[in-house]
Amino acid sequence: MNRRGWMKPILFLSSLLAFAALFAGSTQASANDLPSTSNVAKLKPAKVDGKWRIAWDVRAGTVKAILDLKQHADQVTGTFQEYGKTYPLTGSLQGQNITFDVPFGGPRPYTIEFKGTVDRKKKMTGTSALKGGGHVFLGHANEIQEPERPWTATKGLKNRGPITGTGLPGKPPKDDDD
Amino acid sequence: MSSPSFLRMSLHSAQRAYLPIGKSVLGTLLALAVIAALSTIVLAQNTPIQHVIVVFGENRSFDHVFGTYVPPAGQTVHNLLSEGIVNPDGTPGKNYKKAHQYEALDTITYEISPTGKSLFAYLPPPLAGGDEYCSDTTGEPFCTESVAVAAEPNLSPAWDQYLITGATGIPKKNFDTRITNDQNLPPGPFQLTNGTTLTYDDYAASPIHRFYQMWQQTDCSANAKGVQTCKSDLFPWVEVSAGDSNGAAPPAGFTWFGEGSTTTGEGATSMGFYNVAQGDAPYLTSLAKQYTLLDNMHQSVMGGTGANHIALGYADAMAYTNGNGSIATPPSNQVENPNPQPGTNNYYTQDGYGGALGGGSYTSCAQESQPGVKPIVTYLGKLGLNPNCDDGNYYLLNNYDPGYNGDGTLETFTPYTIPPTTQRHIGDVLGDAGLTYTFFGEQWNLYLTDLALQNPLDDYCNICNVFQYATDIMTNPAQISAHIQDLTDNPNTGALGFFSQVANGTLPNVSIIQPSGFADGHPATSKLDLWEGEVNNIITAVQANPTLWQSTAIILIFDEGGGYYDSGYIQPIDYFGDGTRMPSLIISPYTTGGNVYHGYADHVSIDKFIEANWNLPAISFRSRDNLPNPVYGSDPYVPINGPALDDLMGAFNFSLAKK
Repeated sequence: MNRRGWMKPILFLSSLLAFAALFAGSTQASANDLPSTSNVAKLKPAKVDGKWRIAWDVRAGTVKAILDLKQHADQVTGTFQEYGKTYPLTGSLQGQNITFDVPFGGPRPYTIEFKGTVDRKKKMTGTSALKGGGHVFLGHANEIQEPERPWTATKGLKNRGPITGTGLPGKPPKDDDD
Repeated sequence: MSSPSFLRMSLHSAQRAYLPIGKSVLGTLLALAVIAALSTIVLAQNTPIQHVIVVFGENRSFDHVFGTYVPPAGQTVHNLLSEGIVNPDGTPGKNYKKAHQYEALDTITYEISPTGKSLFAYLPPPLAGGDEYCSDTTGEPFCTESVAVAAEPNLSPAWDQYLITGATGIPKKNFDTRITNDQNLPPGPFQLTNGTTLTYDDYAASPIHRFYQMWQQTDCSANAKGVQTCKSDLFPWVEVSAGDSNGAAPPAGFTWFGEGSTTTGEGATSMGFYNVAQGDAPYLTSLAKQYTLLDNMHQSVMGGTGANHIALGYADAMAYTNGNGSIATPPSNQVENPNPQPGTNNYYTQDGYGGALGGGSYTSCAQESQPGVKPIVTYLGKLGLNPNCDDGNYYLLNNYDPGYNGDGTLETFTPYTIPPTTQRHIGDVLGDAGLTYTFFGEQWNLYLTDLALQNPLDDYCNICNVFQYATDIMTNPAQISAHIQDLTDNPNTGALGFFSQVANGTLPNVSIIQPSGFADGHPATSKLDLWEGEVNNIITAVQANPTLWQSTAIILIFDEGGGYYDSGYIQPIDYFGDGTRMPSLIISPYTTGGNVYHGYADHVSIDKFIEANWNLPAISFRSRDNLPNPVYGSDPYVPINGPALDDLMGAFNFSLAKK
């Protein structure tokens, strides 16, 4: 076999390898565009269905309430129960991130938007703010705090121990002056 | 007019008559003897006043509002203009240096008169505060007037327009470039408004106003001879240095002169003043020229809102208890500590901020070893004054929520409350005498549906309600209903609010009105013109009932000076104050004429007026309403028999005929 004779298979093989490499690269590029196995898991809605105890910092301190969440894929409905009153809620999940709105009734209705994350220890943490943003009266006791108020929730109602917001002893919040 | 009123007039005429001979010790003693003799007669008498209405505003010092006020002919006033500190156009006057402001050095332990002072070359640039944009969902300012009026219905209609104006257009904590020459201000008071980029109707920032901070800002000291001076020359320094982190270290790159999160967010906001000579505060100015302006009325307690409202209600500070009347020790993280954090210049350890969500606010001032206590007690000791701090008591110095919710249940939303108190209050004194009293808190009705104050639109001020702290009121629904109402009627219970009671002629003997956060005039969260609108509505309503008007004294007052600079004298009374002067006016058929009353007064003077008017005893054996009326020497602002507090009777002229 002359030199040209054995070159042809090599060129063919090189072309094949190059094509394979190109294909492989293309496949990898696609993998970057589409969720990998682990990324798919991150975007898969966390499981939040059920009842939660929530502690929510408000102007007078910490409100303790019950969330009853009904999950339908990445959509959340349910109720927010406090002081014998029940308010509907609607929201959504994106992976571990949860957002839900609670429209509170009364003489001056308002809607609070809760944003947070769900961790693997059956706990949610986040902040809340008035839907629509803007000024929030913080009161003379808290006039230097920003309007975003923290909240924490733990799954289930069996544990009746205190659910602490950041306002409880030993956990003074970090204030932001205005 | 009844003869008793004439007798009371005689008493106060006697006091005034002896002012010119104040330099004479003999004359002073004679005046005291006359007063003492007349007091025994007069105490059994009454005046035509059957209704006292106290209307609170929030956070303005006297010079901040009336710094350039010129009284009618024959009257004098102490302010920035009369002292030559500023000119009528707001520029520095010939005596501007009297108000010069300094930076100082405090790195080891808290001092009320720190050393190492040096004049600021220029003030730390004042930073912006208040809302940048309008919003119909949250208000202050609103975007639409109809929405605004639905949320805040208690202004006179002419003022409603101001509910939708005044947004700053500048992010909070950024340089407030609306202020003329904002980054090169001389080291003293500056005019906040300029008629163009920053008008009287614009929102602006709120200075720090806390207990230990204000003691430091006023820079009081006494020499070995017992001569006392308050220089009031550290306002901006404390404002930019003290911090508000409750134990956290200062932010990296912390600076006094910058903007943003590496600062306290204020700059030298404390030095701004309005210029009434150029049209600011027009309604208050017109009231001053028609009725009586007090230019020696002070906040009772150094610092902020809660403790000063308590001063009116109890004529005393309030101590931490177990909730059943026994003195107790608060958790350690509720104790204030103004000592500077290590490695800092005056960055406080526990700064008094935090309120319902944390931060220390109690002090055991009978223990000199407690943080912050010794410098104040030492100062008072040089003056021979009793701090009035009982052993073991931890007194509330700033803002903690009352121990009760509005429905009488215990406030358990936060541990940062003052526990329910059995301390005697002015309502007890009135009630014992068969007199009536009500606290009218705007938005009380809304608050009753929102006890946790979780509705961000709920601007009710719980810490301002002096009766919400009290067990004898809050544990009895009938007492709550009798003594706490809204300005408007309660749609759920049918209870009549202030305006209905005025119209019906059923107003109690004593009314205390606290506007909502929308209209209280507090800088950053409200505006002074909104307070003017609510005050106008109240006065107009009372005057519309001629019978009521003829028997009423409306006392306009602020909770405190808000941390704004003031050039007035400050009388040392006890550990808690007094603090800076605040604007105050008495609106009544018997206070007409545009007088300026110089009698030394604070919130407790209103208690003294009530007690003098109805012949009532003092609230307790240790309350400040036991202090005598002042006697003056050559200086009509400085009592020579201090501590002393005026009962305000001298501000009235009951010989004025019905008009």
